[in-house]
Amino acid sequence: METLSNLASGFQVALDPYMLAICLIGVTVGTLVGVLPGIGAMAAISIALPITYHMDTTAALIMLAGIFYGAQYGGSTAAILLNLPGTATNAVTCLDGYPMSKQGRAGVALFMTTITSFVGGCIGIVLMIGFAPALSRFALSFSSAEYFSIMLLGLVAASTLSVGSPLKGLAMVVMGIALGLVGIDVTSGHPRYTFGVIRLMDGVNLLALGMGLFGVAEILNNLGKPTQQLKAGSVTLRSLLPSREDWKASVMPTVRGAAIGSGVGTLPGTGPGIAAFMAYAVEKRVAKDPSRFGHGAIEGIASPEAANNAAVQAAFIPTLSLGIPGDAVIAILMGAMLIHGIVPGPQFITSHPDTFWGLIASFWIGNVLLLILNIPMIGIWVRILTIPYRLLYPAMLFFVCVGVYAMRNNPFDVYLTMLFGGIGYFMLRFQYPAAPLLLGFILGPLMEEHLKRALQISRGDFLVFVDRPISAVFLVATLLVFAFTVKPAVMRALSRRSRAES
Amino acid sequence: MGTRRGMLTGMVLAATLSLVGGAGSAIAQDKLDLATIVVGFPPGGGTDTTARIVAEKLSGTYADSVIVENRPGAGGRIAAAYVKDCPTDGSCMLFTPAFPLIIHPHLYADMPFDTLNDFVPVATTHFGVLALSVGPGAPESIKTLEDFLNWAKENPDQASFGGPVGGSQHFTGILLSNASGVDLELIGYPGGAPSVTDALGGHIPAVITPMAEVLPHAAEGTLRILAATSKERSKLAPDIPTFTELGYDIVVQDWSGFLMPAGTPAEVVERANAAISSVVETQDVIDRMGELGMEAQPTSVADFAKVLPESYAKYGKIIEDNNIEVQ
Amino acid sequence: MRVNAINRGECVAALVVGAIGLAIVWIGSDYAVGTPRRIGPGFFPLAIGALLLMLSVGLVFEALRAERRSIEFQARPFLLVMAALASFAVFMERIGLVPATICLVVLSALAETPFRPLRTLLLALAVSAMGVLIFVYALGLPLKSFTW
Repeated sequence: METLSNLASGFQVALDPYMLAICLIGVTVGTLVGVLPGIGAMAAISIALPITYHMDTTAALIMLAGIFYGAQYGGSTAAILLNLPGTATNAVTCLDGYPMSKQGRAGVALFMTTITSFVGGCIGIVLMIGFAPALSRFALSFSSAEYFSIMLLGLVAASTLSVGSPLKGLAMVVMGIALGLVGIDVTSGHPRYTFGVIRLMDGVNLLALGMGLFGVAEILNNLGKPTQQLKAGSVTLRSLLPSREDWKASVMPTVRGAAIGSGVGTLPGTGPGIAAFMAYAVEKRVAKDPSRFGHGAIEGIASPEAANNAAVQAAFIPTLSLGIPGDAVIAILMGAMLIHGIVPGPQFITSHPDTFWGLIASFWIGNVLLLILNIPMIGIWVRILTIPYRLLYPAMLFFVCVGVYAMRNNPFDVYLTMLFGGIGYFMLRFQYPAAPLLLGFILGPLMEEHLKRALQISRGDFLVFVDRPISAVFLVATLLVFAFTVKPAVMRALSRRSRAES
Repeated sequence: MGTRRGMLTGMVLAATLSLVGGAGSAIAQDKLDLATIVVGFPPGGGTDTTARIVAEKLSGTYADSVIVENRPGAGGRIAAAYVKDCPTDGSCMLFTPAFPLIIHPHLYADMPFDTLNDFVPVATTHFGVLALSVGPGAPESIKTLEDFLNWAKENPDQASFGGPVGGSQHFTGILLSNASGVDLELIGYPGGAPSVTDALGGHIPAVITPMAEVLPHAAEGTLRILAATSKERSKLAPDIPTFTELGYDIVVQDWSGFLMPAGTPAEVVERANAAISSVVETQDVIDRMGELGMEAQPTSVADFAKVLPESYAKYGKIIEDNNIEVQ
Repeated sequence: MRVNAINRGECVAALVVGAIGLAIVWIGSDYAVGTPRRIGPGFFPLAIGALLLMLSVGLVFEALRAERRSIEFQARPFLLVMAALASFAVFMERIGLVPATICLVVLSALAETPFRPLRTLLLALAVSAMGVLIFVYALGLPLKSFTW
């Protein structure tokens, strides 16, 4: 098959010692940068960009791509250990990863996420290789109506993210959407809720929001309480390895997560974050005992991490085959390509086969390298937890501040983090969950944009959402999810009434 | 206990050493051997990439070290506001496309700077050309601008194009509507790329975008470029007619360039212009910018100083005449 | 319905949600709602604000029926950490990364008792050093260590 021979030549390119070294540098830098909360792939890639100008094109792309998906691996580390999401996409990993860490199972969590990230990445790559043209055609067929419906599904699923009162969870989703309203409305150009503050014109900074609600709030929560320190001696190899039950419990979630991640990642405009949230919601829904989620359920990290990495790989599909960046970070990668005179798009594959297949092969090699790199590092990371908290948390605050500041070179964002840290603290005290808020914030504005555009294109016809088959499917799924969520409450109310009557 | 103290001592040593080192580099910065190009858009986009190409070539000649600093936000206005307060010694300049400086002031009430008084124009890199293209969302039979306009007239419900709200693309559409008498509705997107995506998917019939964004697709045949907004045919797309050729007086060719804070002495400005213009004239840079879909076009300080207020006034008039309101 | 004194906190929280909803609708009333074909900037805010109001009603009822739970706050660590973060934001561009970091570390360390001045200072220096090494040297971010 032509693909196989192309792949073979791709491996030949990628396995060249120079390329291998470049790949190694890329993924290592990516992982390290990903671990630093806040400084994400974006910063690392833009810093590496000038260095790559003078490199061979294929090498440049291999390195930059390596930084990109390496950062995904690294981001989950801070999320699990310190409740600091490395990027917004890792916020989901905090939900069950951090509790696992508090239960002394940090090593297990880190190990599991490394493995599932690898599997997810591999599945994403396979799909890329096999189905890139078909998937990009599929992605193009998504118009605003389909985007709206799939996001609605995501939001309704998000209401299941909360631990505790569903009403509070729902309120937080809506609150998140409300926060997302701040800024210039995309379809009319009209600023909303900006109060004339120019720094709010682009809306609330997602990173500031995530860091504040998860990281800073958690620190505030921990102060004044005695915290348990891991004793250095207790970090043995065996304590790092997942148990048999852990492995068994993670298989299906990983597969499901990878599937969701690949699907969602292909769609331009949806990122790995959305994929991770959806994967988590699906897992919670299909689990036999959903109440375990939020308290250290291993499925809660296996699935989102697989989804995360699969989405990152899948996001290359629209980029390479259509020339449409799937994600802001990939846009930078595209910039790198353009500087080298390579215009990604339909002709890319045929006019630069070496580069394309070499890149794909390097993805796989990169994932393997990451696996080899990360597993020994787990012991080191876990040792971070043995640092006395009084030394750790100021350092954490520092990394948060620098990370948030450096994103836009803007102190305003640090104030935002402060504000959301405070709000997040009160939310924790009153048991209002933060994850649904984050998801509402991410999805809300997108949903509004797509709703408006779908209706504008259909000239005000609401039926467009059911006329188009894909959109209809998602809407039906949404109704089903909603019905199943509400069913237990309704049954309880009905039975209470019948008991009262009898 | 012993190791703990050892750790602390080690940390202190490292701290002192790097603080001294850090202070050292701070002094070096004060000597103005560092120039910063402030860009109001995230890395990887057209603006940022161009800035980096120029920065690389300026390093060593204009200043020992020339770096690019990204301060994205508010469509480029945050970066502009930052630069207006920068030192006037030539070490800090803004690289921006025209629209935050010449379009936004007419659309938004709370501007953090005054285009005509807070900046002194230094040099341009290129003048951006826009293009109207159709895709699978429009009938196959549409091959020329006239075809498109006729179709739009007969199908008012579908006569639309995609583009960002309040950008020069938007205005090009308005100018076309006015000049042709055919009402074209704008379908708003947060940027160029999503509008091109929807056009490729056949969800919208047409897009108005920078030429660079559609050239690859035109080469592939998935989009058909109907007209360009330049004064003369673009060297990068010599088969595409201009609007003017086709009988519509629509020229939208907005500059992208460097500006320094007002009050910068004239010699400093001239020196910077000389450095930048010579960079923009090198074959290597012309080629690289060409690959990005931009035609390198430097101008003198005097010319740029004329073009800036002219372009500012032009958009003011268009916005006023058409009652365009965003706020 | 007995209102437990301790649940007053929960009620207040629920009311805050409602207040935010109200504010959203109030401020958003300036934005045009538009037609179904061209939905304006005001539609979503109106819908969201109204939704929040309704939810807050439900939350108030839930709060009134909830079990007793003590909600404690510690003002001192809270204020100190807030001050620490604010100081970083204020000093970062005015004095530079290193002084801002030292401020941040010292202020936030004050939040834990007992406060150990010497160790805190050492920690501040160490963290600043790490920061300069990683962010300015290794990553080459355009951050100024000192800006005078």
